[in-house]
Amino acid sequence: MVNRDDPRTSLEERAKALFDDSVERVDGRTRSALNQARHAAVEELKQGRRSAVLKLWAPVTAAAAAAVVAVVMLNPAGQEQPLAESGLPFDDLDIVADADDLEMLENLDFYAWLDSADALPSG
Amino acid sequence: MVELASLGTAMHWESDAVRGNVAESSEARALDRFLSDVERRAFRIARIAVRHDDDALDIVQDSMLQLARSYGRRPSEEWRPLFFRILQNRIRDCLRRRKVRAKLLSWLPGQNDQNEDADLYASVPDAAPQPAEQSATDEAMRALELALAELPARQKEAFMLRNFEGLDVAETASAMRCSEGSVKTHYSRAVHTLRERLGDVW
Repeated sequence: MVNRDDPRTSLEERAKALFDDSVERVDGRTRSALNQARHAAVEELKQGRRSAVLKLWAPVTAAAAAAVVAVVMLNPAGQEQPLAESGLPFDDLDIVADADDLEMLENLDFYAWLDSADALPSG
Repeated sequence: MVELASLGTAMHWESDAVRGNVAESSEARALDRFLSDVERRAFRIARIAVRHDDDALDIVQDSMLQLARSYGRRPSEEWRPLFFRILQNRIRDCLRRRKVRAKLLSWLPGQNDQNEDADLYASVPDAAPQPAEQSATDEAMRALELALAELPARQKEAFMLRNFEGLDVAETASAMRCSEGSVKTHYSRAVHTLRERLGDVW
């Protein structure tokens, strides 16, 4: 219960009221600066979360990407045969699927050549 | 077979990504709401402590970033005392730098007659232009700020956190990194001193 005759309570209440009034009267320039600072802090939180997720998933994502590329290249459009029936060795596919770095994606030309070389008649 | 496996894996990752995005948005919204609630009060508390608009803004900005960086993924109910702990640390850093600067300046030729403890910003006028007629509220606030400026640092912290920000004793102790008993002591001494200084004015 508030005792309004208690000078200590009156001082605290008056101080709080003055402070609240000063908060309401913060000028526009300051409010804008605070607004920008808040957005920067929220963005910092988002960036931190994305970095953490990226570090966790990067190697798995690279392997999955390599596997998808291998599927596309080893099974060109028009051919509905499963890989096993095409006669392609599964060892090559396993090597590609095991790749855990993004350099594999940079060797697409090599794999395209490999694919065309296999299609050439021997002899 | 490989295509089906890749499709299933991709769908699994997509649902994880959606969950991740939802969590990220939720955290970001919570932080935005919290900072929006405290930012102006934090600025005023910093302004009263350091008596300079731009320094106070820098302090609040740094504190927001630090909270997001170091504690953004803690439960939101922990943010308030954590944020004000960071704010008080930044205020202390600012005041310490000023003291060092004042000391260095006092060693320069022609500066020796200056008081080492002189507040460099004491003579700097307030950033906001002063109205021709000072309202009674402005005068009372000015008197309060001057009285607060003369309090020992810990008493000033305890008073502003308890009275202005409304932290309870436990939260204030967490922000000030001291015991709850110390908070009560600092606060009661602050009130006593302020009553003595402001009694005639108020």
